[in-house]
Amino acid sequence: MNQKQDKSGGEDRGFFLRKTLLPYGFILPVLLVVLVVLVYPLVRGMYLSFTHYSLDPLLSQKPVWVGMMNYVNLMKDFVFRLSFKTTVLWTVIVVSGQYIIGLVLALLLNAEFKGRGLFRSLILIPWIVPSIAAALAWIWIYDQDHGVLNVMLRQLGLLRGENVAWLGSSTWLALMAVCVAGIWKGVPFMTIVLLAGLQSIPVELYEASRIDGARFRQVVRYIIIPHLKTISAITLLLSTIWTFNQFDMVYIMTKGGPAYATHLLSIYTYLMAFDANEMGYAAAIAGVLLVVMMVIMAFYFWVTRREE
Amino acid sequence: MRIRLSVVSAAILLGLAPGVFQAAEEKKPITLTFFHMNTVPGSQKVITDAIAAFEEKHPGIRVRETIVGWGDAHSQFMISLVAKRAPDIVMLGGTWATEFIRLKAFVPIEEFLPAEMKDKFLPNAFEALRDEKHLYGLPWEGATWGMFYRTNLFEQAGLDPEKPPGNWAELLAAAKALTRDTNGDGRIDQWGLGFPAKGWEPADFWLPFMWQAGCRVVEMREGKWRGVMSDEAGQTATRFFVDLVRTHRVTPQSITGMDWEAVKNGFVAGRFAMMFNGMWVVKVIRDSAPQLEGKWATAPYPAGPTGIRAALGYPNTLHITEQSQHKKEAWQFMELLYSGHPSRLDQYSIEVCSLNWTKNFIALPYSKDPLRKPFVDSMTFAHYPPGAPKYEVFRKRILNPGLQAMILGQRQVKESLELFDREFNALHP
Repeated sequence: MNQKQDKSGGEDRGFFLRKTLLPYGFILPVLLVVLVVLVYPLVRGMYLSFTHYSLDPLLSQKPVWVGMMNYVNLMKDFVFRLSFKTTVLWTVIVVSGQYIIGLVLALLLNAEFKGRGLFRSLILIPWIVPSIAAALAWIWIYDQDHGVLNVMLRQLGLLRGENVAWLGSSTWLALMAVCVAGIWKGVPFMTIVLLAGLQSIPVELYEASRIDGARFRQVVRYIIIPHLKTISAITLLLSTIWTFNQFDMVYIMTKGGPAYATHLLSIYTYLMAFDANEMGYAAAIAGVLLVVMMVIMAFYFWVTRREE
Repeated sequence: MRIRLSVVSAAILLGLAPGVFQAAEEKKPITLTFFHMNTVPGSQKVITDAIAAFEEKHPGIRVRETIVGWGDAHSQFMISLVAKRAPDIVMLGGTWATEFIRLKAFVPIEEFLPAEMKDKFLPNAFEALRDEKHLYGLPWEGATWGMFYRTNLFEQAGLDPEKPPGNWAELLAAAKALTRDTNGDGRIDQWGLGFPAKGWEPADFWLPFMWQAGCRVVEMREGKWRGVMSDEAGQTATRFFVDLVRTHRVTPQSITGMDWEAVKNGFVAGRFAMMFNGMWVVKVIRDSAPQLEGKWATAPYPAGPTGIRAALGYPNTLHITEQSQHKKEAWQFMELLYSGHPSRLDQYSIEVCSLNWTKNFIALPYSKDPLRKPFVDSMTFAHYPPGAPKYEVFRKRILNPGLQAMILGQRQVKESLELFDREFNALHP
C-alpha cells in the first residue's frame, strides 16, 4: 500500500514538475539569451549614463558615479540639440515618405495584372541590399561629377550650368538627399506589410461598394483605411523606431555634415563613444533615445487600446 | 616492491617535470602582433617581405598582422587597449600619438634606440612622439599638403605657369583670373581654387592659413590647453579662408560636399585650376590621368600676409605597446623596418607616394622629382595639427561642422571662432 502510495505520489510529483517547471525549462535558453544580449546591455547602458566613464577611467575600468550630470550637460550641449532636431526632422520625413509611397505601391500591387508576382519580388530589392552597399550606391548616384542623377537631369534639360553637389552644397539639400535614400531603403517593408493588410480585406466589401456605386476615393476612405489602421500603426511604429535609430547609411553618406545638416543622434552617440571615448556621455545620449522610443511606444499602446 | 617502484618512478617524473615544462616553454614560438593600416598592394609587399625576412632570421618568432582601415584604426586600437589585448607593435596616424602617450600606452623607446639611428631623422619628426621625459616611438612615412595647379589653364588666363602664387595676395589674384565661365552660359564652370571640405577634412585645409597668418590655434597656458583661434591673426586667416567662397567667389560652396578625391576629380576635369591636396595625389593623378602630363605642376603653400610659410605635414608613427609581452623582439622587428638600402621605410614611402622624415630620404632621386619636390621642401616648415589631447574630438564635433557652416554662410567668422575657443577650452578644463 505504502509502495503504491509512494508510486502514485511520485507520479503526481513528476506530473507536477512536468506541468509546471518543464515549460520554464524550455524557455530558459531563450530567456538567458535575452538577459545577456538585451537586458544586461540595457541596464548597464543606463547605469553608465549616470557615470563619468571616459578615457582614463575606461582603461582602469572604473566608471565614476556622477548622478544626472551627463543629462544636465546634454541639455546645455548645442550639438545635442541640433542633432535631436535633425533626428526628429529626418524621422518625420523618412517615415512619412515610406508610408505614402509604400501605400501607393501596395495599392498598385494589389491590383490584378500580368507579372504581378515578379514586381512583388523586385520591390524587395532595396530592403535586401545591405545598408552599407546601398549608401555607397547612393553616394555614386549623387556624385557631383559622375553621378547618374546629374547626368539624367542634364539630359532631361532640367539642369543647366554647374552640376549639383547633392550631399554638400547646402544643408537642406543634403538632408533631403539622405532622406530620399532612407525612404528608398524602407519602402519595400511598408509595401509588403500594407499589401498583406490589403489582401486581408474581404473581397465582398469591394463588391458591395461597387454595387453601391462608390468611387475609388470612397473605397479608400471607408474600406481600405479603416481596415489598415492597426497594421499601419504597427508598421509606422516599427519604422519610426528603426529610422530614429538609423546610423549606417547616413554616417557613410555624409558623416553627419555638412554643418550638422545630417547629424543624427545615433551619429553623435557613435562620435562621443568611439572617437571621444566619453562612454558615460554617449550612454546618456542613448538614454535619451530610449526615452523617446518609450514615449512613442506608449503612444502606440494608448492608440491600440483605445481602438479595442 | 611494486609500490616502492611506483613511488620512485613518480618522484623521478616529478623531478624531471620542471625541466620538461621549461624546455617546452623555451620552444614555444613567440607571436608578435603588428597592427597597421596599410591597404596599398605595393607597400603591403614591403611589409610582407620584411615579415618573411624577420621570421627567417628569428625562427622562433612569428609576426601576425592586424590590418585595419584608417577610419576604424583609432577606435580599434583603443578597444584593444581597454581589453588588455593591445598588439605588440602599432602603426598610428600621426595625430593620435599624443593622446595615447598621455594614457601611457607605449614603451619609452630610448633604451632600444641607438643614437646613430635617431640621428637619421629630421628633428621635427619627433614633435608628437615625446613628453617631458621620454620618446615613445619612431616616425613612419607621412605626407605634406600643398598646391596643385593646371599650367595650361594658367597660360590660358595669361598667368605665368612658372610662377605659382607665392603669397595670399597672389593666390587670390590668380584664383580670380582663373575663375571663368568658359562656355558663355552665364555660370562659372572653371573655379580658381578648390580644396576638400567634406566630413572631417575642412580643418586640415584651414590650419595652414591660420599658421601662415601667425595664429597658434591652441597653446599651453599655465598648464592648461587654451584655444586662441579668435585672436586677430586667427580672424584674419579665417576671414580670408571663408571669403574665398563667400566674397571673392573663386571657390564654390559645394566643396563642403567634396572629399580629397572629388576635388582631385574636379582638378583633372578642369573645374578647378588650382587645388590644395595631399602629396599622395601626385601619384593618383599620374596613374589615373596620363593625358594631363605636362599640363599641371605643384608648389608649396603660399606664404601668409607677414611672410610666414607653413603647411600641414607629419609622419605617421610606430610604437611598441606597454602591454606587449615581447618588447625586445618587437623592437627587433621595428628596427628591421628601418633597415636596408634603400631602407624598408623608404621603399614603403615610395610605394605609397609619400615622404618620410629621414635626412637620407630628401637626397633620394625620388624626392627630386619636380612634382614631388615642393612637398619635400615643405617638410621643413610643416606642422603637426595641434597636439592637445582632445583636439581630435574638438575637430570632429565642433571645428569641421563650424567651418562648413561658415563656408555655407550660416555663421559669422568672429562668433564661430569665439565658439571654437569656448568649446575647445571646455574640453580641456
